[in-house]
Amino acid sequence: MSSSLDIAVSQAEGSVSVSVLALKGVLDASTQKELESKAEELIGGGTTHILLDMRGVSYMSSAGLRAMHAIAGKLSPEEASETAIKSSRLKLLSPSEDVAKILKTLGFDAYLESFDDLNSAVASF
Amino acid sequence: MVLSIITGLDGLDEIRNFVEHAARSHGVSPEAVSDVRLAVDEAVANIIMHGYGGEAGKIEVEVTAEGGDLLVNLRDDAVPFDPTARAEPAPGNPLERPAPGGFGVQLMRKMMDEISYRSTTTGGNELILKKLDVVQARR
Repeated sequence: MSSSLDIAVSQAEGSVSVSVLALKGVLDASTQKELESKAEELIGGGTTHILLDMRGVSYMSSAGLRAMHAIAGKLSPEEASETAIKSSRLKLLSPSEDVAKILKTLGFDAYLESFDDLNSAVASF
Repeated sequence: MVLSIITGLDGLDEIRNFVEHAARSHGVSPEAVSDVRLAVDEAVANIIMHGYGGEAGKIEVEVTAEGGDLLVNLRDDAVPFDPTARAEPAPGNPLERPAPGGFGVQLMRKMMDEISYRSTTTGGNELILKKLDVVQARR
């Protein structure tokens, strides 16, 4: 048995156009590159804002954080500054309790905003 | 309980399931099981990625109880690598770090109470992860 991760992409319109990546399955060291590759493909095609829909993520390890780090860097290479607290281009929808614990343990919760509903998430960009 | 397999990253799921089952059999709570499962996943992923260069290699996972404590021994034949020797990353925005190394080791340290390392006599590595006071005594 091996881990699998399905990624369904859709577009949502708020004040900006947001690519919503609905993840389903496991986000671990074996599936990390799949997420990074998909995000890279979208960014190469013009995507500027990404919402990771985590509702279907049954398990995540630090590999998920590495993927988020890579995606945030590709979306906003110029954003890293002392005054930019939260990423304005990468956000999360409904991480599970276990995933939220990992985000908090490594301090990612202070820099990646999470939302409980899709409309609020899209409107926040 | 011992699991001994030759695997790459595609074996992480099997290893996580084994650890979950073994920990539950010792009466460990769901929250503690999650912590142990994550710590082992992080450790094994590091062994495969850094010790075996991303290729398949031998991983042995042993889960035992020592009084009220749960022990997980991880043994491999990879190049010597001591994750306990790695320094903690500096505080600050993790998104701003140029290279996101060390997240796995950080999580291991947070999820487990004690971590120790030794090289084995056959030239491999043994990592011992311990979670204190989580084993429920059998009635």
